Amino acid sequence: MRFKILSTLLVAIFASNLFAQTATIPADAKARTAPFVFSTESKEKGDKIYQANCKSCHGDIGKANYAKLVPIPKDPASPEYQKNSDGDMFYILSNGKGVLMPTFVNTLTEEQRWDVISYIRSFNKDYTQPPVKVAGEAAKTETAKMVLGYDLNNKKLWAMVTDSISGTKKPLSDVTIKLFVRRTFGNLPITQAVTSNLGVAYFDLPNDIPGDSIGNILLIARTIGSSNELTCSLTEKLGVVTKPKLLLDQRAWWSINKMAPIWLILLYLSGITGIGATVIYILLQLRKIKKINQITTET
Amino acid sequence: MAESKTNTQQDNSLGILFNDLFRTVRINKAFHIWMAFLSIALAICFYAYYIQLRDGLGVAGIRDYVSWGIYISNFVFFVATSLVGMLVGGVVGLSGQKWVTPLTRIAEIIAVAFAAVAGLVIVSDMGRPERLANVFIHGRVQSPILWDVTVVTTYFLISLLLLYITLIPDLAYGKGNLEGRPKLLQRLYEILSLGWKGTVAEVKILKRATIIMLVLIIPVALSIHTVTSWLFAVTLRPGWDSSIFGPYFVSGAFVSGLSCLIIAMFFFRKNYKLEDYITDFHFDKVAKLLVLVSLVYLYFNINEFLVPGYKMKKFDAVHLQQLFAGEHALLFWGVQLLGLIIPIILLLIKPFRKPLPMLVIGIFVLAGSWLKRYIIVVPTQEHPFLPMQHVPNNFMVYSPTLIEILISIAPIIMVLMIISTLAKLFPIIPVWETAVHKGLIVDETEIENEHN
Ligand code: HEC
Repeated sequence: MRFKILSTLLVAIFASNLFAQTATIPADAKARTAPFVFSTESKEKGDKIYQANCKSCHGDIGKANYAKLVPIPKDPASPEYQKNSDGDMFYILSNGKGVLMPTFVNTLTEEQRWDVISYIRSFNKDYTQPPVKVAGEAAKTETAKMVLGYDLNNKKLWAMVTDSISGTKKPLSDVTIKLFVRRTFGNLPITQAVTSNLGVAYFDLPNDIPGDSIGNILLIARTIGSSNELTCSLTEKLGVVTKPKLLLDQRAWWSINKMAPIWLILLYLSGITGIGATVIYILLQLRKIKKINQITTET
Repeated sequence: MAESKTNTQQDNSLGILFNDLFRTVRINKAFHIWMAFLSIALAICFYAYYIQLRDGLGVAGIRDYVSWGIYISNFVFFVATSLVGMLVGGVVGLSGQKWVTPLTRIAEIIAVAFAAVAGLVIVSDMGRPERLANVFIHGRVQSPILWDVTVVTTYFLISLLLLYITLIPDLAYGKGNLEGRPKLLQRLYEILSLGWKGTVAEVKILKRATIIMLVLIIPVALSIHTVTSWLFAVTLRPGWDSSIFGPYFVSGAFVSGLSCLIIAMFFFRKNYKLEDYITDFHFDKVAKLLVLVSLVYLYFNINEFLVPGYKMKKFDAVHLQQLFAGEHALLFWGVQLLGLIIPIILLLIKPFRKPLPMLVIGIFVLAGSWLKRYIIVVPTQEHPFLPMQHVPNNFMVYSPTLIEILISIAPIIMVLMIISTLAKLFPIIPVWETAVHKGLIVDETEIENEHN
């Protein structure tokens, strides 16, 4: 009995916890709006991003041919999906939802995330974009800039954030910058740093990041926390030289025919030649029989 | 021609022997009717195959999960049955068992027919048969499929050559014993006999060639069925992932091959009136041989099912459950009991080792052999490791369609046609060897051996 009460209690706590997790989108995130007016251009960029990142689960928009998962991913053109506010969508896209909807915070920039939303909204005739906030902060950061560089002497990777609001360049302090390295399947977060009074942040890079065949890696810096995200990237020889070892370069059971194990090829060929030679020998014997008889008939 | 004994009585019995054994070489009305019947049946099956070519493999019951259905079961069965040529000629013949002589040619003809058609059976499982050549062009030497294609073709060629070699003296004897048969046939005999005269030198060569072929055919035959078993055993799937699949298949092949031999023996003996040559004694011997190989097969069956059944590993358990007590239980126990255990018990009792009871037992064993291949091939595929999701019901459970069944019957008809034709064109019992064994023709090489 006791056990029953306890387990019911546990289930209740667990379930409520689950609900809490999926249901809460913070109020300010909900109310968030796009930093630019959706245009044909943003829609087209969003289209490309959607095809590459979302289609495998959400299908072709409007065709309800999404992957058969539980919970279903929903067709983005469906009313249940479209009833999300722009902020909701942005939040879900950034942080994921449930177990299956992945987070895209590291793979898509904020701008790219808004582009996808712009594309998705183009399938909703009733949609009108809420006004883009052009006041204060947003306007200020329109003129902000970030550069990423590598100091050869000190062997340090740095980023500098400046703002040229009134014609003069002014360093921006206390900006948190996240650093990523481009990998095959997305951006790998490496570290983050905060800009100093001079608007500069230094990053400590691990020295064992696999690079390409000459050691190049693509670094991506992205500001976080500010209302308008800044990104910039830099390719630098800071990785470990990696010569990709093709699996097909070694002789193996599972490789292509040309790369079969030598002993196997020999075994196969010797089997065939052994049998072939025996058969030829037998045929020669038969010819011998025929010859013997030709001679005996002639004499 | 080797000297026959001079006394007239011997000559007479040699005459009777020739008469008895060459009597069956004739194309008569019954044969025409029989072949016409088979041709019509085959035409119907070919129409089914035409539909499959036109509409694709979807007309068969095979789908994504169960992609090897009765076509592949058929293939395994055909390869298996063809092994009887090696068992009778190679293993029993080489061990000096003289009684087997009258059965060797039947066994070799069965081997040639089944091996020839086995390759075609595989083609029936191909959606794009015109791409068959790709197996050779793009084949990987690492793949058991390439080995299988290689050894099955080789085995067919060797069996054909062996059949021919042992025919040579008989073809020569045919010269004087085929009056009234088609000219073309007589000419064929003449060419193929290579002018055989039966001199000591010739006999020596022929004997050596035969022994070499019989030795060669043993490893090749073992490898065709071992490699066929590897098509399954090199995968990780429950029911196939087994290290004894090679010997398990080979022993099973002997069982199905011998049962086929028994049926053929019965029909040839009766239709060709060969009671004096294929006697109750031969049936008795073959019955005992069948008991032996069946016991070996039973032993492998026990190993194959008891050991995984004791452990019941997660995925094996699902599979074994289906066989022992689930959907396939009736088939599984039916095959094990009616096709293996009961035949063994019956054949241990003397009255059952007579032609007619053995025909019935042979039919049961042969049918059991076919169904056993089905049990090996199909149920495993109904339980993939990943769950089957979002597919129609006919993807989950396999059942062959009518078209598929017709296409699977075609090879059986072809085998019957090949066996019937060969048995009509050539003496079904080795004439020369039988005469030598009966002492009607002196084999001088034997005498030479004795003197040495
Ligand atoms: C791995 C499959 C997968 C991919 C890829 C994916 N999603 Fe999702 N998405 C889901 C699933 C499943 C849900 C439903 C989650 C739930 O309800 O718990 C979902 C839900 C959503 C929702 C919330 C809809 C609602 O009201 O429930 C949005 C918005 C969304 N996805 C957008 C996107 C976008 C934009 C992309 C591409 C950048 C994307 N998804 C890529 C699987 C995926």
